[in-house]
Amino acid sequence: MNTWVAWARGPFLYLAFSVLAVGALRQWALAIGELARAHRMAGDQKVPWRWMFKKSLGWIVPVNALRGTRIPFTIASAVFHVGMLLVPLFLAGHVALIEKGIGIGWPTLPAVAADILTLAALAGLVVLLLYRLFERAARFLSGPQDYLLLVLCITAFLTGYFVAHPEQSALPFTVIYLAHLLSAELILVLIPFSKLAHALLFASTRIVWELGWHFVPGGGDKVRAALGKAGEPV
Amino acid sequence: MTGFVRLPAAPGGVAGRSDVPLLEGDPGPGRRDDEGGGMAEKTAVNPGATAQSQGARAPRPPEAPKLLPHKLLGTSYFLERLYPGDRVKRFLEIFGAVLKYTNYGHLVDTYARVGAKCANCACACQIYLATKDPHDVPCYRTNLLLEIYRRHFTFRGMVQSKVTSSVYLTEEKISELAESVYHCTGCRRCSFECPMGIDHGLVTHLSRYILSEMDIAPKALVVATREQLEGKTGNTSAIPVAALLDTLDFLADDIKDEKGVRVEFPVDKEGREFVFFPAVSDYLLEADTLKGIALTFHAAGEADRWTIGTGYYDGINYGLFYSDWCAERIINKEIAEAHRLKGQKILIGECGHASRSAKLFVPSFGGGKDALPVLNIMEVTLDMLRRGKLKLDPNVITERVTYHDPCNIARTGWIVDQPREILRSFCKNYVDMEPKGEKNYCCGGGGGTVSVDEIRRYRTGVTGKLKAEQIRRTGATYVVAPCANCKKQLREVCEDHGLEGVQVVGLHDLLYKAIVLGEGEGR
Ligand code: HEM
Ligand code: SF4
Ligand code: SF4
Ligand code: SF4
Repeated sequence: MNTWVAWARGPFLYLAFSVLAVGALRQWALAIGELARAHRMAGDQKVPWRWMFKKSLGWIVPVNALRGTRIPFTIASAVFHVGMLLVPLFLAGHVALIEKGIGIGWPTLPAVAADILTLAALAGLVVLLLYRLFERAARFLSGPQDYLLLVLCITAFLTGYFVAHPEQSALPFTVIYLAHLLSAELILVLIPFSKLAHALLFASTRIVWELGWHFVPGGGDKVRAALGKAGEPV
Repeated sequence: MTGFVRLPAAPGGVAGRSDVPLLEGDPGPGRRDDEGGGMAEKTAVNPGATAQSQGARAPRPPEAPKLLPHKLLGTSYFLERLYPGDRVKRFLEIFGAVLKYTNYGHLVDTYARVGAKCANCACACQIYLATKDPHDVPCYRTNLLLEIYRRHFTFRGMVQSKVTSSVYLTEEKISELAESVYHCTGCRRCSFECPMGIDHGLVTHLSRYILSEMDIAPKALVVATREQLEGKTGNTSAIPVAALLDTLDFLADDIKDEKGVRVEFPVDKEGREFVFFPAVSDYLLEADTLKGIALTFHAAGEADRWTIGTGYYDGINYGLFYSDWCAERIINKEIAEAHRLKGQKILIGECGHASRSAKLFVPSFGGGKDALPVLNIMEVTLDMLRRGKLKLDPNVITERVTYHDPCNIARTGWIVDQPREILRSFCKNYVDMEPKGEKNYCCGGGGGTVSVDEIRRYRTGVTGKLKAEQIRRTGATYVVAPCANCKKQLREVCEDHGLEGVQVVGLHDLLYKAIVLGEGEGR
């Protein structure tokens, strides 16, 4: 068991971060390149940057959505995301681990705050899962990936909580610890390859939308020429 | 998939229509040759419907749509013909070419990566709200195309196909897509609810574009566009220039009779500020709107600012709904006419999609920064009102008035407050619908579906259901809908939902009644 933990704390961790880093860089490079290409090809190169920036912010800070029909969902999602972003990055234990590895550290969350955020994120995740299971539309749309990712996040947070509070856990510490390390690493690895990619691409989705409507002059003719239909009537 | 029952011949629809839906390329009995006459019937607004919509016919309560078993490449709208070869292969060829030569590639790729399947969009779509059928959830529809992309155009998808040695796309999937994207009205209401920024209107447009290149597009749209681009008259309603001039004379005489002034419809005047393009069907069907516009310019003393061109006078652009290729060709006609007349700006009449397509495509296809500016007529009217050029009698329109936001001009926030400011200035009893403005519900006939008469039952029963309830709640007599498409659709919605006494009108129809002419002029 302990060798497993050693692996999970060592090589696996480095591997997971490397995959994430390479995957993220690839996606960002691709996104920037493609957006530049779309902008170059567009007949109308004027882009309402300010409007788009405002709209993007509007989605990141979901106050607008609080008027919608799925208020509990929005709140649960926001709470989960706050936990998801703060706890992994600012938990004292994590920062210590990173400092040991690469020699850089930063301020940490007080333990109580981390506990509260973790429990809140768990509650949020459960609400999201309930929506998926019981709301007609959400359930119909969901595939295995959608459930598995939620379960994976729940696992990471739950085991994380028990790592911090081993006395409340029924399972042996090493089992919990290993499960936490592995689930967290799996999340990191999956970010570039699953719908979690939204964490990387979120900032660009509005620009993508806007540029999508900037059509390419002559594009329609080229498509028809490629299909052997040049010169054909409507 | 929600289907809907076809009426043998919708009473308000094209008279005597005997087509049947096309299955497997069968042209169907009674298919008429639509090249020549009869065009007007086929276009956005059809005369029969208008004449009857406020008539005394007993309202027919819309029935709940029944589920049809899904038929192979059977669409609920009529097709002209069907690509005869291997349709799966063809679809993929087209998709590939589109990804290569247009700006959709990165869009599709990003959407395929980030789609959260959270179902936020479901509660935003008037179709899902009416049917509660999960096949109508916007994300489901969008995913029909995204999944084809994932499985056929990404590395992972290709590996998956190799490993399982299977082809994902089938004719049935094409068929489902073909049906689904014409259920969606492209109103983009849902797009604003998607936390991932997925623009379902745009994906619907893209799907329709791909399908149209293999001849899957409603016949009504294709036939009208063909006349516009390649026909003798060069417009979707097949109105020849002589008939246009006659109509303008007619309208001028009408104004003389009703208002006691001689008002000019300026034709082919060079160097004017505005070259005017209404939905061309207005010349057949919306006399009051056009008279209102001419009278507004006249009353403000600014009739020398605008002109109608006889070279091209149609604002309609169905390319926005189903084909980038057509969109570009159509908008180029508009730009060319504006240049021919040395106009400074393109002025679009009361029409949502004509305004939006001009606003989008004139810069896109007409030279970016150097392109002519595009205005909607309501912006111009408001400007005249604010400058104190218009005198409106507040005692003419005493009935309750409400305003329907055409999504094509309201969704981006372009034209939301302007018409309200105009209406409030002279309508004593103005009420808003809820929701409104950028968050309005579509009339249910968007994305060109309003021109497809064979799906009227669906349009009024399903997509127009929420709109009917909204209108009923306002208790309004006048529903102002400054859009040719919305007007036709809303009249049919009111008729099919028994909203008697509701009049669907344009904004300038009411101005026409309320304008007070200057000293010694008019009555
Ligand atoms: C970087 C900033 C991030 C932003 C702006 C963001 C935003 C969003 C949004 C808008 C949704 C849509 C659905 C919802 O509201 O729940 C979502 C869903 C989701 N996000 Fe994030 N996210 C971010 C990072 C992350 C990270 C790092 C994870 C890590 C695992 C994550 C996991 C998830 C999951 C699992 C869902 C699906 C929720 C469900 O199944 O209902 N997100 N995110
Ligand atoms: S664009 Fe409109 S009709 Fe289409 S899915 Fe979205 S809300 Fe529904
Ligand atoms: S709101 Fe957006 S991410 Fe959520 S299900 Fe709809 S399309 Fe997918
Ligand atoms: S017909 Fe009118 S309400 Fe409907 S989508 Fe078009 S502009 Fe919007």
